[in-house]
Amino acid sequence: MQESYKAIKSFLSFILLSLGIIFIDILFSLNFIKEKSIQFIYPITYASQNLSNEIKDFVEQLTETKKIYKEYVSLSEQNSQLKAQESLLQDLETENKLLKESLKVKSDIDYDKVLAKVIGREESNTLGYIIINKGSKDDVKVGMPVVLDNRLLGKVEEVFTSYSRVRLINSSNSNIPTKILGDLSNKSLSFLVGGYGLTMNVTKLDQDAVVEKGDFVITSGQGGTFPQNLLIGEVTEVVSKVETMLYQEAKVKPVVDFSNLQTVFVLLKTEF
Amino acid sequence: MSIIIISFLVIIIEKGIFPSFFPSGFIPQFLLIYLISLTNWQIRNFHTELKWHNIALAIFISGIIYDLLSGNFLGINSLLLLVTIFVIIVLGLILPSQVNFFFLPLSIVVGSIVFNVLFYFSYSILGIDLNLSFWNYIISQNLVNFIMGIISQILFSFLFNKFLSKKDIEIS
Repeated sequence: MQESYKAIKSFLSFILLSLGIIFIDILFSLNFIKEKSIQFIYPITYASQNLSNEIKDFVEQLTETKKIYKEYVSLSEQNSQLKAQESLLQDLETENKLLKESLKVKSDIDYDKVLAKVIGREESNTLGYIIINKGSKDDVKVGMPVVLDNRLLGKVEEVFTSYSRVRLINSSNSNIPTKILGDLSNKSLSFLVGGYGLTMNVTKLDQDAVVEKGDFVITSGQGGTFPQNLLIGEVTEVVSKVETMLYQEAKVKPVVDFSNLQTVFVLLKTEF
Repeated sequence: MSIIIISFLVIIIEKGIFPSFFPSGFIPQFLLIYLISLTNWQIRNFHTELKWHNIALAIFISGIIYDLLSGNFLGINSLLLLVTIFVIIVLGLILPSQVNFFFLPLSIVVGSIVFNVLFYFSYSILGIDLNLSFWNYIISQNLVNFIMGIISQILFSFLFNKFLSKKDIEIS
C-alpha cells in the first residue's frame, strides 16, 4: 500500500512539473531550448530516418525481386509452351512436306495405266516373279513399271501376247534407284537390292545421310526406269552405319504383301 | 537508466522508422505502448524493486524528448503520458484481482483511449489541427495501438527481463 502511495506521489509531482513547463512555454516561449535540443537530437533522428528509408528500400527490393521472380517463372512457362508449339509446328511442317510429297507422288504416277490380274507366280525363285494377264496386245512392253496405287511392285521383264512376267522389287536381280522420303538434300540417294525374294536392302547410302528406323524408301527417279516417289518400303534397321565404311546400308520391309497380290497396274510408259 | 535509454530508442523508432512503413493516421504510438508495457511489468513484478519514481522520471523525460522532436509545446506529451500511466496504475490498484495475463490488453486499450482523448482535446485547446474527426482519430489510433501493443510484447518482455535489473536502482 505504501508502494502505491509512493507511485501516486511520484506521478503527481511529475504531472505538476509538466504542467509548469507547459505554462512556462506558453508564457515565455522556450524556443531557444527547443532549437538547441533539436540541434542535438536531429542528427540521430536524421540517421534513423535514413536507416528506415534504407530498410524500406530493401523491403521494396525484396518485393520487387519476388515480382521479378514471378515474371521469370511466368516467362519460363510461356517459353516452354512456345517450345511445345514450335515442336508441334515442326511436326506439322514435316507432315506438310510428307503430304506434299504424297501429292507429288500422286501426280507423278498419273500416267496411262492398265489394270492387270495376277494369274501366276514363278515357283523357281521364291516370289521373285509374278505373271499378269496383260501382254503385248494390251500395249504392255518390257521395262514398264508395275504398281499398286502409289506403291512400286516391280518391272515387266518379259512380254507375251496375252500375258507378261513381272520381276518384283524383292527379287535378286533388282537394282532400283531409291532415296529416303523427306530427304530434300538428296544425300540418301541409294539403290534397292532384293535378296532372293526374301529381303530388301538399300545400299550405297551416303554416310552423311540421316537414315533411321521407320523412314520410308521411295524411288528416286534416277535412270528414268521408274517414276519418282513411288513408295517401296520402310527401313527396319540401319545395318552398316560405320564410319570406316564408304556407304551405309539399311534393311527395308516392303509395304506390299507380295504373296497376296491379286490385281496390279502396269504404267504404259518405259521412260520417266 | 536503462528504461530511459530504451525510451529514447523507442521514440527514435516511432518518429524515424514507423512513418516510412505505416500510412499517415495509422502510425502506432510506440512510446505509449512501451510505457504501458513497462507499467504492466512493474505492477505484476513489485518484487523487482524498480521504483515508481524511476518510471515517472522516465516518462517525464521521454515526453519532453517527444515534444522536442514534435515541435509542440514543451511538456504536453509528458503530462499526457504521466496522466495515462497514472490511470493505469490506479486501475491496477482498483482491480488487483484482474492483474493477470489479460490486464495487459485491457491496459493497452484503456491507456490508448485515455491518452488519445486527452491528446485530441488538449491539442484542440492549444489550437493544433489534427486533420481528423474525433471518432475517426480515436478508433483508428486505438486499433493500431492495440495490434502493435500485442505484437510488441515479445520485444518488450525480452528487454525488460534482460535490462531492468538492480542497476536502475543503484543509479537512481
